[in-house]
Amino acid sequence: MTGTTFLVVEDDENDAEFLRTAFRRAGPDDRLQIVRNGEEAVRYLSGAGEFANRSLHPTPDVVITDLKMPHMNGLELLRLMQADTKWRQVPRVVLTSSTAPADVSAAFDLGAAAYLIKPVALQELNTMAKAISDFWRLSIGLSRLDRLR
Amino acid sequence: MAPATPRPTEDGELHRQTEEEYRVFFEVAAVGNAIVDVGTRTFLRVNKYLEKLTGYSEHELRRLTIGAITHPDDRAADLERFRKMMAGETLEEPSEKRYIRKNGEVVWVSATETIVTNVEGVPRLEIVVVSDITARKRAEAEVECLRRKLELKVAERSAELADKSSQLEAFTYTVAHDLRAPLRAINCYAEYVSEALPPLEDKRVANCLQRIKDATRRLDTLIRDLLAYTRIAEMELSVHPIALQLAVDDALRMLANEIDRCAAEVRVEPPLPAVYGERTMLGHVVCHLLSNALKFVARGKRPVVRVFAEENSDRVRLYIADNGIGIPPQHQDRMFRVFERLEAALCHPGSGIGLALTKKVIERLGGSVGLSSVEGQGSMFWFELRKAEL
Repeated sequence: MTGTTFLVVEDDENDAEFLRTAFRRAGPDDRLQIVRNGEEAVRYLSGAGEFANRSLHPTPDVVITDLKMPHMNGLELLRLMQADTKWRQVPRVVLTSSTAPADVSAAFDLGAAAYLIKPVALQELNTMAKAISDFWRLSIGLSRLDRLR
Repeated sequence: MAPATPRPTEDGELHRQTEEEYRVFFEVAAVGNAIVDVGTRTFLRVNKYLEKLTGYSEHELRRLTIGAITHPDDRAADLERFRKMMAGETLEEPSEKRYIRKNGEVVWVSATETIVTNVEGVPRLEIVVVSDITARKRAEAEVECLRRKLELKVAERSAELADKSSQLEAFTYTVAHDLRAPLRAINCYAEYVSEALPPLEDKRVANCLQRIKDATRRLDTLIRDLLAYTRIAEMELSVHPIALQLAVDDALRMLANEIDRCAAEVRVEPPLPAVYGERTMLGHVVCHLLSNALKFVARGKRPVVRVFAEENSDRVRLYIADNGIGIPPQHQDRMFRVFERLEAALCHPGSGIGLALTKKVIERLGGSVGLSSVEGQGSMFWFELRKAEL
């Protein structure tokens, strides 16, 4: 079974790097595509501009987004994705350092499948990446099976 | 000698005297008096006071109607009153209205009007008594103006406060996000370096890396607690009756590992009655107090903690008593403030916000907190809430 393609929307270069490392360890088959804000994510999802080549930039199975980002923040991205009939099918996970109850409820209202707080310790991040990778591999594998049937 | 004055003349004299008395009464009164024609509402007779009040002479007033000297905005109401009186209604309250003086000035008056009828009940005259209430009206207007200014000021201050509060929220959000990101970076890179370090490498390097990681974890706890502290004030709390036993059980579950690790003895002494509170919040408060009780113990000593309650007519006080290091008297009143960490506490993990947070939560639930302690023998922290029936 092939791995999952994650589109990570993250403006902090360090966090992006930690996620890349954590996912490399958690699911070696997973592909991580990293963009820096909601605007880039929209371009990626539409396959526009630098993301036109789908063999280099495949359509993601899951979007993992930060909330506070320049140009277009995570909540705006969630809103856009929820309003689009095609993008709405892509599961969205929030990974942020915000613990504000308003952000949590807004994210779920806008269709987020999960709301995760960025851990400070690398070990926790590894565990989290493993959980995300395993869960979506299973879940996406199952839905692919369904489609084959 | 019998009086020689014949009766009719005596009556006439009496009548004349009475008339004279009324005339004086009418003339010298410290209010404005007027007799008004009910057909035309022109003045028939006025006294000196009314002349002074209106600035018109009696001669001039005789050619004016009440309506003519009444402020245009008050004329309709004045006419309405007159109509009612003519229809036989008795008006209880004097009217307050404005006259326009001859020089154009406005003067506020309180006017009492009466209709005098003949024997058949047909209105004959209107008697008007007015007093000058301009000073009172001016004072009232001033009070009203001040009240408005005050309201405006209060609204301004409230807006400023709301603004400050939202600035604070924005600030805490920034603290959470912007401070924690570099913290995460420091910690994760330190862990990368640790991982990459060959096992036999200089111990000092590994040691330093461990210290970096410990420090970042402490700072992270501090930031999270600070956020929780600022958020408590804005949080909606639903206060309801809850058995303290439940909150204590929750706390014991949260601390199960810690209690095991330090082989502590926690004695919960029932009954723990019900109070007005919120289960999650109270669970955290008890958890924090218990965790402190386990933490601040002299090295090598086994922590023994007692949890018990005391109730009076309408309050319940929950005590958490330990056999720990205790708190010197001079520090006891500082314990519940943000960032008050005593030297002894510096060797123990924690952010120094926990007790402040505890105090804030209990106060928001309508209660109070306190402590008594003897250095070297132990501390007894308590909180008190309104008693509830379950």
